[in-house]
Amino acid sequence: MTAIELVNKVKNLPPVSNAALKLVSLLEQPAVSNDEVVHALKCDNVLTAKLLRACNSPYFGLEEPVSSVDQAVFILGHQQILHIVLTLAFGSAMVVPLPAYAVEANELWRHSLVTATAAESVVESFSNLSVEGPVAFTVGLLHDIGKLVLSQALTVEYQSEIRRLVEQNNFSRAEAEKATIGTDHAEVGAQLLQSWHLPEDIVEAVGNHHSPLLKPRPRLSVVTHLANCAAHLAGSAPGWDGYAVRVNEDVVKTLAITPDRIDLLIVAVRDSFDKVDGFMTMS
Amino acid sequence: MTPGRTWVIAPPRRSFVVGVADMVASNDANADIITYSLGSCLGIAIYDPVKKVGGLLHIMLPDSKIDAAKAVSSPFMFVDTGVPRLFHSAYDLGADRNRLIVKVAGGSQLLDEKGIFNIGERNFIALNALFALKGIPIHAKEVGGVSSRTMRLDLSNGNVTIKPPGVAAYPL
Repeated sequence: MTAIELVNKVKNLPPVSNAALKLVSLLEQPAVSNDEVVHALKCDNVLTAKLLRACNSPYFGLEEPVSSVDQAVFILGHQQILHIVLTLAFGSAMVVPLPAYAVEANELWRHSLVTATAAESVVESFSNLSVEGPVAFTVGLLHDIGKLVLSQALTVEYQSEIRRLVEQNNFSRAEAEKATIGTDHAEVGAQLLQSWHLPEDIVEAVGNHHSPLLKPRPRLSVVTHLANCAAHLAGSAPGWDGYAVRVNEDVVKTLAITPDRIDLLIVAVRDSFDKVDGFMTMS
Repeated sequence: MTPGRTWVIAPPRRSFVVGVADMVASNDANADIITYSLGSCLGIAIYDPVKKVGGLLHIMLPDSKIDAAKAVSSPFMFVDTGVPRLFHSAYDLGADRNRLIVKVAGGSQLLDEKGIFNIGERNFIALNALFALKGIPIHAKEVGGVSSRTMRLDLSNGNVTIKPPGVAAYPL
């Protein structure tokens, strides 16, 4: 089965607000203005209401309550608003348990948030990748979204074959999915994002997060790959096969990654756990 | 008050949760110490069966030299700064070094041929080196693999259980 067949076949695609997709599309632009963010959000009353509630939650500790989107964007800045909106927009779809992965409720969501903050640390640490923080956060957040779709197609037979390949043949999770079903959760995620008309870079970052592209220049998938590895190493590895993730040797070589650098990255990821907890309470 | 039947209801067992880069030591025999999502991190449980004193440490990285500030602010993040504090916390509660039972779990590995990301292995090597230096034996261990683990220490008897996702807990 190909990724496109799978996305077409599965009945329950994650419900996502158009306003949130519009915001993700804005990331393609070199600079986003507060006005554009406000404009995108105003089309969605429910999301706007949730956003204002989140802004007024104790997590932000604002002295004066925020009562409009304009005010929220002005006070918190559009980066912060983007993080909150993405959290609100994708959180409800991603908190579901995925029995086919032995992933409990909230676990995929927490892993997505840890990877999102890890991606910010990656672009800070590897500044030569020249990726903006909000873009990194977004692709980290969405990298495993294909699991929501693929898990619906994973019959018991598929699951046991995947387990056999991982446990006995040293396959990674993604490799085992591909060998068994013909596609993997990364490709399926990319297909889903494409069907939502999200920017090509973001689709690439999700679709290749297990097989990052380095040539002719490192693409955004290098960020998702490293962020995912770092999140796993900081203990965010849901599922029975949480560590069946293959590290791409070419990324290690091209970016001249040393053990010390990895260790420092993991320290940074650990430091973001409080922020992740804040996002978890918001969604 | 009318005399009646006396009901004895055991109080619920307490659970102390150890976060990532965190440690708990206790002499409360009515409690468990538990840590979740041990991946490449290591869980180190120690227990003195006579004093019913135990501790559980969840370390992330082998060596604090990479970040001097973190070594002070989060000593439980590293093998070299965390493990001595775990043992001393147990000694402070009356544990005897020669009676301590030491169990270790975690150290899962990403699939990484070159080994740059093999923090699980580096953690375990650092722990073994430290234990060898101090003459401390490991009584049981489950290290490596591709699953994360939940580790629980029962302070009433020192039993340690391991639970990977989707599998029932089993003793270590």
